[in-house]
Amino acid sequence: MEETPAAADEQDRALVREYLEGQRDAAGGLVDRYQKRLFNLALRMLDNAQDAEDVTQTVFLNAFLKLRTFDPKYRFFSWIYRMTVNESLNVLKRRKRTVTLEDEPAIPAPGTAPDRETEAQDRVAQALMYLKPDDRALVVLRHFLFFSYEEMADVLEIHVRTVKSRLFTARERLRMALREGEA
Amino acid sequence: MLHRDQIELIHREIDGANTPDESAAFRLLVEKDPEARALEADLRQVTALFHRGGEREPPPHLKRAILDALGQPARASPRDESGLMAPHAIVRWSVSLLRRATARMEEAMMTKKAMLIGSAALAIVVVVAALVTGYPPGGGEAGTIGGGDSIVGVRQAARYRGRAMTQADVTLENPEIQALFQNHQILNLVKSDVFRELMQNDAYRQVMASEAYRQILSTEAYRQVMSSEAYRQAMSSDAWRQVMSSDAYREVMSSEAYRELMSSEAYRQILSSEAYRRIMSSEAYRQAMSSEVFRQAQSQDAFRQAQSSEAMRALQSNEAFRRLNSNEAFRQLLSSDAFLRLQSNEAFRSLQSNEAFLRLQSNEAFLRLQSNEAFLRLQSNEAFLRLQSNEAFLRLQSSEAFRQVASNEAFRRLQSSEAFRAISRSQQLSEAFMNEAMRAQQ
Repeated sequence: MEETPAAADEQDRALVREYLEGQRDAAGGLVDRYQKRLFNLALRMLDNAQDAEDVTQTVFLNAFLKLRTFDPKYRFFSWIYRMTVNESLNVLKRRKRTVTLEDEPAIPAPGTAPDRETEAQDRVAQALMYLKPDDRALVVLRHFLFFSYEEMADVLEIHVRTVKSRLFTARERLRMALREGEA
Repeated sequence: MLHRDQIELIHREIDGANTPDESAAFRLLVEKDPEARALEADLRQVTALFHRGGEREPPPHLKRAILDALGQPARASPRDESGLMAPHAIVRWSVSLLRRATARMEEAMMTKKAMLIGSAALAIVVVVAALVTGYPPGGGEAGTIGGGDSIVGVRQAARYRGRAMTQADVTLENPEIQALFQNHQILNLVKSDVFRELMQNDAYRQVMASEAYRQILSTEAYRQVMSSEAYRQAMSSDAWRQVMSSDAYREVMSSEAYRELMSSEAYRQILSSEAYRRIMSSEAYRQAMSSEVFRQAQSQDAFRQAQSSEAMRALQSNEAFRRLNSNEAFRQLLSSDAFLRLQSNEAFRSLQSNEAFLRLQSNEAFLRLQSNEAFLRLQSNEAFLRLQSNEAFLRLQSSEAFRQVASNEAFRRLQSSEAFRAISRSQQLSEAFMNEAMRAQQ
């Protein structure tokens, strides 16, 4: 049965508390709960499994190092996702130094990959890379992690109105890009 | 043409965020408007594409690598019992995490080296200049020496200006200082045009007048650095001189990005961090940096050791280090043409592998000096930053006369002497010292 948000928060809080009380196994519990989601978030942001792995490791390590300063009145969930988004954006910024404008990806047209599954993966990855990193974070949170507008606003520390506006614009841009790819 | 509200209504419907009333309005809209229908279809196609992408499992070793890095055993879980060896995971974690960080670390260290070179050179200039120009400029109540200072040859000083010689003379008669007054290399430097030009420079005078600089000069760490053989050798090397005279170095020193970087809090924190200190003083780092292979391939053993060291790991996870890496000025500096040229400059490369330079970097006193609060304040001092890009200052540093002074034995002894520290702490004693120096020059 799927965990409710309230139950998930309570479980996170309990694990954080246990970890801070010296129950080191609680760290494993938190990793179990979030590693897949954080890895996929980073993967969608970066389109590179090795980078995504690095980001996930870095985020967890930082999270545990900073856990004492974490304010329990906030959601662990938002905090660790925010760190992942920020770390991914940092990686992208560093990467940007070596990427020229000519490297902007084109979304592959249907039928260009060896099989349908690969084609779908390629198109998704390339579609995301077509977006600006900040907008990409919105799309990933919404469409891969199924966050609500409010949760996205919480993670990205922006207003809900801004979330909507930027998400809609990003999707519009993707829509146009996909059309161009098919043309 | 769809209205903005209508477009948002469609988007919200796609996201399942509409209220029942809004959903009803949406259905009505798409029923009547073909453009709305087309938009809805397109958006559903976009979102369907994402859903087809699916989720990937993280690498099986990921959890263990994270927990190992935290220094604790992984809690048993079926997914982690895949037979992966913990040591392998640790190594893999270290290598993978640091692989990309390596380039950044290397860059950061190089930047820092450039900065340190400038600072060290300034130390020499200030000390030498102090011999002939007065220290520091500006008025103010004179300081005193004595009380808690039990310095050989230095006792309570009285106001010097306009008076006969006082107890301060005792200090000025220190044999090390006297030897310096007689030294032709010092006098040659002092008589050079660039030196004289520099003395007129406002930035230089402000640096000399700064409390931070005075404090540095009076620290024990500074004294030890100045008296170290490694310092002498590094400063007198050809490579150092060539770096100082290179255009690329000048450009870096005068760039806005460099100035911003020096002023950043993150940079200060890095310099004073224990992790940074441990890296710089590690044998593995020294070996890696002095290896030619280092510049060609990062697979060299010593380099890998340096990378996977505990200290490097701590530095990587250091918040200041991370902030530094994302600091815009830092990024700009690293990607600037001047910095890239400096890195590929043969003399700069040679300096990095210079044995004396590496020993200096791992020198305990030198490391302490870098984390000294006054030293850190000086790095972000506006006058200091201006001075570093000053043409006369740069020309002076690359001059032969300057090089000779840097390796001058009497000069070294002076800087490491207790007497000089006393002079550094006292404005009035400094003034007496200058007067004596000028007299000696005539």
